[in-house]
Amino acid sequence: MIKKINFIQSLSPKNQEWYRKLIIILGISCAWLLIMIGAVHGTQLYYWLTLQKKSHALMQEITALQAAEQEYHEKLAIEKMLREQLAKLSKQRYHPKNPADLLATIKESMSNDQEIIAIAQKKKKIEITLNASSLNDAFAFLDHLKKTKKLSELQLISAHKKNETSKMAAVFQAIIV
Amino acid sequence: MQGANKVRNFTVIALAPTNLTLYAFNDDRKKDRLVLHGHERIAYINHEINSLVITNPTAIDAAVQNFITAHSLQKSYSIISLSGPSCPAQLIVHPQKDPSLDQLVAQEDRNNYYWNLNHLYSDDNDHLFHICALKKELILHYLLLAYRCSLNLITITNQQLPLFLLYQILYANAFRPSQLVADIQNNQNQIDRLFSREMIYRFTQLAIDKKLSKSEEIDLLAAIATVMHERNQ
Repeated sequence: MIKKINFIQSLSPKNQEWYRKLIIILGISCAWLLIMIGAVHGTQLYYWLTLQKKSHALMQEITALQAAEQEYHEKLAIEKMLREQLAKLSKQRYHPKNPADLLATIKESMSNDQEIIAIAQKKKKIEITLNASSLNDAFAFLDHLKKTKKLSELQLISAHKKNETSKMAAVFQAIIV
Repeated sequence: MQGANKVRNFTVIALAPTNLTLYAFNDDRKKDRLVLHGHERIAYINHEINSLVITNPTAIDAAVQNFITAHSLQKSYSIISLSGPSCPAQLIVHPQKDPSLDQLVAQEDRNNYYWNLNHLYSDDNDHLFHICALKKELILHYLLLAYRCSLNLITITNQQLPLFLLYQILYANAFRPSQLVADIQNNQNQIDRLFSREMIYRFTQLAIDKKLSKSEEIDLLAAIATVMHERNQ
C-alpha cells in the first residue's frame, strides 16, 4: 500500500472533528452537571444564602446590643458610685454632730440687720459673736435661739460698741443639746 | 459547524516554479463527490516565489487571504502541494527491499532535505521506490504562511505522490502494484499521463465558470488527488 507523504505532523480532519465533538460533549456534560448540581442543591443553597443574610443582620444587631450593654454597665457603675457618695453625704448630713442644723437654726433666729462675726465650738460649748444694731436686738436674737431648744444655758456674755456709729458686738455662749 | 452537516471545505495551495494555484473544494460526504467552487491561478510576475521560497510574503499572503475571504474558507482544512526542483520526486529501482536513506541519497542532499521513501512494487530481483524530498527551510516558510493567513494547515505534500494514491482509489479493490508499475512504464514514468480528462469529472463537480487549460487540468487532478487522499484519512 502506498503511504501518504506529509512533511509536517498534524491532526487529520477526522481527528480534528473527533476532538471538536469531544470538546462539545464535555462542555455540554459540564454544563448539564452544573445545572443538576444547581437543581439538587439549589434550595439548600438558597436557604444557606438566606440564613447567611439573616446571620449577618443579627450579628450587626448583636454588635449594637453589646455596645448598649457596655454603656449600661458603665452607667450602672457611675450610678453605684454616685449612690455611695450620696449615702456618705446623707450620713454626714443627718449625723447628730452635724453643725449644719445648728447653723441653720442660728440663721433663722437672726433678723435682717444682724450678722454673724464668728462662731467658735469647743466640744459641746459654743460661742457666737454677733453684730447687732442694739442691745434689744441682741436679746431678740437670744430669745429666738432659746425657743429652738437646740442650745441650753444660752447667755449673753458681753456686748460692746467701738464707737457711737458702729454696731454692737454681742458675744453669746451656750451648750449644744 | 463542519461536523454537524457533514460538509468539509478544503483549500489547496499548489506552489509550482512559475505559478501559485488556489483551489477551494467542498466535500459533501453524503454525495461522496468533491465540488470545486473556487479556482485561481496567479503567475509570478515579480518573482514573489523563487524556487518555492516565498520572497514577497505580503503579496502571497494577500492573494491567499483574498481567496479565502472570497470563498468563505476560514474554517477549511488547508493543504500545501509542492512541485518543482526544490521538491524533487523520482522513481528509483533498488535491489534491496528495505534500503537505508544512505544507500539512495548523497550525504549533502541528505542533510539539506527532508526525505520520504515509499515502496511501490517488488519483483524477483528489484524493488521500485518513489522518493521525494523537501528543503528543510521551506517547511518553516510554509508554516509561517499558514500562521500569517490563519490557515488550518493539515498537510504539506508533494504534488506527484497523491496521483499514485488516486490511482489506488480509482482501482479500489482491483488495485495491483504490478499493474501500476506497468502503466507507469508504458507512459514514460509520467504518472499524470495515467489519468484522462474525464477523471476530473468522475471525482469532482466543477462549480466554476471559467474553462481550464490542459496544464490547469493536470494540476487540478493533482489537487483532487490530494484532497481525495485527505478525505479518506
